[in-house]
Amino acid sequence: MDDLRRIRELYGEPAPDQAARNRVRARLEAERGPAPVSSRRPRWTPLLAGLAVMAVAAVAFVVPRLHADPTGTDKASVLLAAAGAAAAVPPAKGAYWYVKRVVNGSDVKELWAGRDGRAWTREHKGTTTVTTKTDEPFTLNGHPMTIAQIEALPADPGALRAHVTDMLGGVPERDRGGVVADALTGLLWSKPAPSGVRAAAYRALADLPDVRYLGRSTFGYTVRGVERELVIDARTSQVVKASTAGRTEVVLVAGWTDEKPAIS
Amino acid sequence: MTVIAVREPDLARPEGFREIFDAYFEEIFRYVAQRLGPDDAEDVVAETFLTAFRKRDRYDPERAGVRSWLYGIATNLIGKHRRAEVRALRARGRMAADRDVSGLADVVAMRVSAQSLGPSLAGAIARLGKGDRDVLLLVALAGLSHEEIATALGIPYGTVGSRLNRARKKLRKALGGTNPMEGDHG
Repeated sequence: MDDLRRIRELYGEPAPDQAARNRVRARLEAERGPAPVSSRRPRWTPLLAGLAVMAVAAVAFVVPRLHADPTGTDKASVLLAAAGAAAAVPPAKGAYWYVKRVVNGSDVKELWAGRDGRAWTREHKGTTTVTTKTDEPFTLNGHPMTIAQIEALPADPGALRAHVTDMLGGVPERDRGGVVADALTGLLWSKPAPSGVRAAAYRALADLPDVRYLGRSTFGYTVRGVERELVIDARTSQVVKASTAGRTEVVLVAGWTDEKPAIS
Repeated sequence: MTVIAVREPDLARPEGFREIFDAYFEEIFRYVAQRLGPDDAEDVVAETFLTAFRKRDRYDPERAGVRSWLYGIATNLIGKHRRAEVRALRARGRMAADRDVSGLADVVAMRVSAQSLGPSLAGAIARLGKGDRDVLLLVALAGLSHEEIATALGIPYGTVGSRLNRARKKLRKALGGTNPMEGDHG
């Protein structure tokens, strides 16, 4: 008898509660007092997130969608609000594109990608930290991209979608919508896409029939049979969380910095 | 490839504390909501992070990861809400019954499992001693290792195994089946 499994079934999985999170966070900020301003702290330009770097476990799962909005009104309004916020983010400068995320609630992963093409990843797992030099930190539909190429992407939603679709090559017709959605969401957080490109990506996602609104600022789409979800903060245009089959990534930081990775 | 050093977010820095909140809120909230229900969870989770912040000087990264440390604090706070936990378990027992009965196939088997399993599993968990229940649920719901539970609850390593065995035995007995092939695994 697998009693532990039965216990898990009995308890179920409570839905994540973004409102509770915000309330608790506000309470903590209030009771802890305001954070002191540190001049040493690098200034992150909060930007955002990408599914392209996520390893995809090849396990399909289907979850019943209770709050899907059949009219698409919420979907468009949330994504267009995010597009507006993205467009308003001032241009950022820095030597390194830096992304920090927490995988499955425990492992912390960081990426530094320099304009000179050098890049490192750092992984904190349990009590070990491993730093690795990496080539090709960014890919779009499997094509390696340099920072300059990402910055030169079209800032018009139609042109951006066409550009991404042109890169699909041998992807079967039925998988195209999901793959395009995946490439566009990658421009929102994991890649150093400038404000105009991010805004265009949000607008293009609003037009994609393959993207579903699941309520609570959460969007879902299917890539080659695997469900993916993206949680955004429409006020700031930040991607908060990306998840797929058994893997959840919480984005802590995605922005430019001058601070170099400490390499021994 | 260079192996560098142990590094967890620094609790003393406000940014570090925020990172910890962002990284673990969801997981801790889920655990507390599972045990107490969503209504009581919010206060307890807020208290968990506040306690972590206040007692940050006592946190020893050599002994425990931030994650198991937070689970330990949350578990101790849950202990002060015994009534809410029993209430949540009673509700879960009922819910399990409803869900099973309304299933599609094999209605008879489901009704049997609903009546004998759902409510009585919940009941058996509710009747466990607090220490046994804490260890059982840290294993089943949080997936902590014996070592992590020992540091989280401040109990000897061997005690984790013995409490877990005792809890599982009681559950099996309550569920009416004993499997002689499943002995104690320490």
